[in-house]
Amino acid sequence: MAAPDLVVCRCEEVTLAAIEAALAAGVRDAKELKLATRAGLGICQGRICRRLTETLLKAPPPSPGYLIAGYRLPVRPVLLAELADAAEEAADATDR
Amino acid sequence: MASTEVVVIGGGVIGTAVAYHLSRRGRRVVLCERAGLGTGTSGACDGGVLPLTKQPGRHLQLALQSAELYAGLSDELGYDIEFDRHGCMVVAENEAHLDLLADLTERQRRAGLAVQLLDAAGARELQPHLARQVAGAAFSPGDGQVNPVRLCRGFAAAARRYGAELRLGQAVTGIEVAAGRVRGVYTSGGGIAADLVINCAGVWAPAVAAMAGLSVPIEPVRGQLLVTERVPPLVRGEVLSALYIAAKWRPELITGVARRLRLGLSVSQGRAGNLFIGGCREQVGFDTATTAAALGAIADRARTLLPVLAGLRVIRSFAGLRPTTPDGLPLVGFVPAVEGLCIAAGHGGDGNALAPVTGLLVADLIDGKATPALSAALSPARFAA
Repeated sequence: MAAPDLVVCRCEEVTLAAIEAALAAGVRDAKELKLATRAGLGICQGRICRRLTETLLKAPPPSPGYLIAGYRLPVRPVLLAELADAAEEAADATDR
Repeated sequence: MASTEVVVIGGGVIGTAVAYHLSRRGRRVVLCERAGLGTGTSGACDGGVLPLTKQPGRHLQLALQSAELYAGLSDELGYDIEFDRHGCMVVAENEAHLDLLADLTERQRRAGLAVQLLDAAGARELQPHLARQVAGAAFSPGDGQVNPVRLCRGFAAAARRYGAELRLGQAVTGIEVAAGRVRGVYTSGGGIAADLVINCAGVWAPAVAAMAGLSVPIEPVRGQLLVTERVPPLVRGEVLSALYIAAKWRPELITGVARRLRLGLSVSQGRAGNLFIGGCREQVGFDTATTAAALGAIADRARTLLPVLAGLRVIRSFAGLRPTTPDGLPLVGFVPAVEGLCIAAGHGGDGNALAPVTGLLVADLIDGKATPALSAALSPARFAA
């Protein structure tokens, strides 16, 4: 049996007890879990804890078309300046 | 079949505010939300409560009234909604912007907003990280920010204490209308009989209205935001570029990629220390994807206005759908065609700013106490052909 003070999300220091409390309070999917506990909202964006939180959630998505959790840019932390440079280069290439 | 007095459809900031005000006045309320509280538009924004971005007139008047309601709301709800009144600054990046701001703030001052126009030095005194080349700024100390998800939860919890029932994970699938009157709703969890039904479904309000055979002029507009790593305080309150004001009301002042995306820079820092940097206004239906082109363009504007941001790591992006109406004002009131059917939706990017006052207004409308002029200005009847 896992200890309740086990840290599930290291970046935001969210414990198993906090996640179980959120689930008991009616949280049913990854988005609600993030909003309620911040699990998965840290610097790694759930790359470490995602499997664990999804396992703890167990339940299927509440309604069709409602995703458990999507993936969005960026796939890893990127400097704001690099993001801006990449877009500028892409815009230049289009204009040429 | 279950029965109640009022069914509220939607568990965002508007639906929960409406449920709170109605149950507080002793109405029996059932709130139906197909997913969880604040998981739609309310959970995909930066939480601005910004009278400074409102046009003088009805819009600003409502925002000012709402800002007052916010001041005591955490105490009233017995729940910390993380409302901080730390001001909003709109930065003019050039002289044309400054002219736009001078005109806007003059009219806003006459309408009762305590707003100051600052020169470049004055602006940088309040926001030390602003770029050297800014032309000036408008600053409104009474503007603020709220945590929208906590706002939904706070309203919902208080509503429940007043006897409201929350049905989360229950989608409304139909509206029962007989002899021109609403009789109740069908949900994925069974039917609920009610003589009053309030459509607070935001960008999904047209789909709900269609269940009663009605059409509603609300269109989704996508706003993309990026989120940085947690850092010590870098900005005070919300910082916008005057581009935001131009993107909202004077798109003809903007060119190129900024015009295409209707780019309007906004920067704020949440309590945890992450910066939220937006945004754009795109008409792409219900697509909530984020795009490298828009995020890059936002990042580029951000580093121009606040060079310190260039060295921060971006960890996440998200997009929300803003429910926009043809005249920029929400639809709040009874629909003309079906008795007992009310709508409170179409708040655009102002849902947080206007949620408390919307909840109050709906309760007043139902009690027959609303001001006629205000009711007429926001009534869905203004778009009836």
